[in-house]
Amino acid sequence: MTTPFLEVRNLSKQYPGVVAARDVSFDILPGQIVGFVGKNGAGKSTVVKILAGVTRPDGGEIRLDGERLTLASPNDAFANGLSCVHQELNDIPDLSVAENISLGLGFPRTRGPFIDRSRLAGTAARALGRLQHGDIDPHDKVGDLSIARRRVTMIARALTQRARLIVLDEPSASLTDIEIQHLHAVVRTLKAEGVAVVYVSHRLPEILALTDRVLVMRDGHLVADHQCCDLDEDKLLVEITGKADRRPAGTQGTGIVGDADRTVLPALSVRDLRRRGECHAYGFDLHRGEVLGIAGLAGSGRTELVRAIIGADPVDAGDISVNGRPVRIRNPRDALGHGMAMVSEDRRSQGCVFAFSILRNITLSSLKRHRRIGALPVPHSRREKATAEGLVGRLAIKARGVETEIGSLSGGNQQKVLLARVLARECSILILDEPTHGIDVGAKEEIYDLVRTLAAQGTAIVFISSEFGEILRISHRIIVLREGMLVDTVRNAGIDEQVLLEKCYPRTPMTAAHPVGPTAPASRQASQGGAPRRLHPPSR
Amino acid sequence: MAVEQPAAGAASRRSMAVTASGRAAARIVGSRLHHVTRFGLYIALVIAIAVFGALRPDAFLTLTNALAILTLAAPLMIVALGLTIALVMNEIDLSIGSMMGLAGALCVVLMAHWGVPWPVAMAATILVAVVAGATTGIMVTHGGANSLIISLGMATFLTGVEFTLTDQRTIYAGIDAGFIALGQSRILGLNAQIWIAGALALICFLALEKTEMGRYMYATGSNAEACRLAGVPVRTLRVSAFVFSACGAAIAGLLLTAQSASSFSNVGLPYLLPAFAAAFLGSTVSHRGQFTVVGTVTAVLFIGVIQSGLTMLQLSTGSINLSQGGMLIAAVLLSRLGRRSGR
Repeated sequence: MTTPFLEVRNLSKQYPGVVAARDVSFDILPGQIVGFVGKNGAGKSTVVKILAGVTRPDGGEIRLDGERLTLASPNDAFANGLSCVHQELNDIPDLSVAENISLGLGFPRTRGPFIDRSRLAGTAARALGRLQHGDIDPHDKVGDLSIARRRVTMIARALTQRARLIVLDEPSASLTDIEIQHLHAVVRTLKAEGVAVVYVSHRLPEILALTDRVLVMRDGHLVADHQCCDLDEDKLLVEITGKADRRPAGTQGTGIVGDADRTVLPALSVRDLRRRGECHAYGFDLHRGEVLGIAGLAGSGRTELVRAIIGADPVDAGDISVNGRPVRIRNPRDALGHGMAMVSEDRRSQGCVFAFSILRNITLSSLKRHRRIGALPVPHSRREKATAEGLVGRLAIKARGVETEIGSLSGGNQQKVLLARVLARECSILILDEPTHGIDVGAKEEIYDLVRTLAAQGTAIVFISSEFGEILRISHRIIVLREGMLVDTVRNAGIDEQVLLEKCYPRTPMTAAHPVGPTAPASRQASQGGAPRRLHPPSR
Repeated sequence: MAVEQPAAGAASRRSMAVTASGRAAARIVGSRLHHVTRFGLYIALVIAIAVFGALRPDAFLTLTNALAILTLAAPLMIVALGLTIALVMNEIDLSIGSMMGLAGALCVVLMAHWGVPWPVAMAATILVAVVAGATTGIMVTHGGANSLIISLGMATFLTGVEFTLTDQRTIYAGIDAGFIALGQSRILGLNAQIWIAGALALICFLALEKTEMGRYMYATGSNAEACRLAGVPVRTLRVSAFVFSACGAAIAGLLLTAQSASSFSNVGLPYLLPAFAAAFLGSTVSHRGQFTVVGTVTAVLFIGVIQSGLTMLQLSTGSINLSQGGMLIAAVLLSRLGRRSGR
C-alpha cells in the first residue's frame, strides 16, 4: 500500500485561449479513494479526460508501475487498467446488463459462433456480486435501470476489465440520498479490493465523508493535495475559489453599470414555473436595463430553466408575463413574438446553421424585417447585407466578408454571429446561455461590453455563466440555482466569488440555511445536504 | 464511358497532390478539382450529347428528338422537383411513385365513372394529394416517426386505394378531350407538358432560392433544432415538405395519364428511383452538395439524354441498364472526388 502504481507528472493541456491544465502532478496508491474537486472550468475534466485516453496532453507524462504510458485512445486506457465512468453514461441502453459489462472484452462463445449466454451472465453476476449489487439481474436491459444502477453496472464493467483505477466523474449527480449511500458502499468495496478510485464531485460533504485524500484544482493548477483528516468544508471552499487576495481584479461586484429601472413593470416576470418531472417552482423578475446573472454549478438546471421560459421545452405550469402582460409561450417562435430571444450554450447543435453564410445566419430570425415589399415574403438581399455588415462591424466579427461560411469561423466569432442573429431581431429580452464559453479572452471582453451597452439601452438580459467572475462583473442581480432549484436571489453588491460559490454548493444544513429565494419551498431546503453529515474518519 | 474520362483525370491529379505531400499544393489542386467537379454534371451532359450525336448524328441531333427527350423528361422532372423540396429538408418521401399512380387513376375514375368535369376532377385529385402529403407529414413530425418507413407504408396504402378504385384495370373510355390535351397538345411547337414542367421548375426555383420559406427550408435541413430556437416554424415546414412532394407526384401522374389518354395500373412506380437518382445527382452540382432546383433539372435532362441515346443505339435492355447505372455512378463519384479534397 505504500508505493504508488500511477504517477502523473507535469500534465499540461492547452486549448485555444485557455490553459486547461498546467503542470498537474500527483501519485495514486492502490486502494486509495481520491477526491477530486474544483469549480467548473478548473481543469478537473481535462485531467479526467487525459486519464481516460480521450484527450492527449500537450506535455507531461503518466507512469504506470514506473513505466511511461501513452494513452492514444480510451481503449489504451482500458487495456492499462484505467477506467472512467463518465457523468454522461456511455453504456448501451438497448443491451442487457451482462452484455454491457462484457462489452469490449469479447463475449464468451459456445462451440459455434453463438454467444454463451450463461457464461456471459455469470461474469456479470460475479462482478455485481463483488460490488454487493447481486440484486441487479444481468438479463435486464440497462436502459430500464435507474441512473444509480446504471453507474454501478458501469463500475462492474470496469471491474471485469481488471481496472486498477476507476475514475468516477460526478457519480452522485442526480442520485437520491439512499442511492448515494449505496454508491459509497460500492466505492469502499473497490477500495477493499485494492482498486483505486478518483471521485470527482461538487458535493463537498460526500468528498469529506468518503475519500482518503482530496486533490483541489483551480485555474488549471493542482493547488492542494490533502489527507482528509485535516480538512473541513470551509477550508476546501477557500481553496476551490482561491483566497480573496489572489482573486483576479474586477471579479467583485464592482462592474455594475447603473441600476435597473424599477419604476415600471418588470420586462419579464416568471412565477411558479414548473418543469416536467420536477416539483420545483421558479419565480423571479427581470427589469428593463437589468442584467440578471444565473449562477449555479454544472447540472444545477440553469439551461433547463431558460429553455423552459422560452418554450424550447414543455413546462407543466407557471405564469410568464412580459411587461406586465401575461403571455402564453408554447415554442421559441412565440417567445420571439414577445421580444424574447435566447442564444444557446450549444453553438454547434443549437445555434449555427452550417450550410449558411454569416449573412444568412444573422438574418435567420429576422427575415421578415428584410422584405423588399411588406406583403411579399421575399427577402431583399441588399437590406439583408446592410444588416449583416452593420452587425459584423459592430460586433467586430473577424471574417473575410459576410458571405463567408459560418463553419470556417473561430468559436468566438461564431458566437458573435449568433448574438448578431438575436440583435438583428431587436429583442427587448435577451437570454444568453454561457455566451463566453470556449472563446478567447479578447472576445469575452467584447461580449461583456456588448451586454453592458445593450443593458444601458434598456434591454433586459439574463446572463448564464459557469464563470462566477464574469457574472459578478456584469450582473446587477444574481439568482442562484442548486440541483434544479432556485435557492437564492442576491443583489450584486459587496459579494464576491466565494460567497456566490458557497451558495451554489450543496452544503450541510447549517450553511444551507442562507436567505432563501421567495419561491423555493422551505421543505426542500431541509433535505438539501444530500450527503451524510458526519465525517467518517479516514480509513487508511 | 463518357463520364469516366474526366474522373480518371481527376483521380490521377489527386494522387499527385498526395505524393507531393505539400498541403498548399493539395489545396490548389483541390480547389481546381472542385471547379471541375461542380460542373461535372454539366460536362457529363455535354459529353453524353456529343457522344450520342457522333454515334447517331442523323437521329439523335434533331429537333424532333430534342423535343421528345423534353416531353419524356417532363413528368420525371415534376416528380423530382417535389422530391427535391422534401430532400432539402432532410425528409425522404418514398410514396411519390404510388401517389403518381393514384392521382392518374383517381382523376380518370372521377371523369369516366362519375362524370365529373375534368378541371374539377383534377382539382379534387390535387386536393387528395395535399391531404395525403399532410397526413404523412403530420405522422412524421408530430408522431416523431421516421419519414423513410412512414412514407413506405403510405406508398403501399396509396397503391391500395388506387387498386380499389380501378380493380387494376386499364381505363380508356370516358376521358375528357380537354384532359388529354394537357398531355398531348402543343403550344408554340412544344408539348404542353414541357411548358408545365418548365413553369413548375421556375416556381420551385423561386420558392426555394428567393422566398423566406425556401430560406427556412434550407436552414431546417441543415440544423433543425437551431432553426426551432431561432423562431423558424420547423414543424409546419416539415409537413409542407410532404405536401409539396405529394403534389409534384400527383401532377406528374396526371400528365402521364393525359399523355397516354388512359389509366394504367401503378403508372408511377418506374419513376420512383429515377426521381431519387435525379435529385441526388443534381445535388452534386451545388457548392455544398445541397439539393437545388437547377441541379435536379440538369440531372433530369442528363437522365433523359442517356435514356434516349441508349435506346437509339438499339442496345439490348440489359446493356441499357448497365450503361445507365454505370453513368449515374460515375457522375456521382466524379463529384465526390472533388468534395473530399476540395475542403
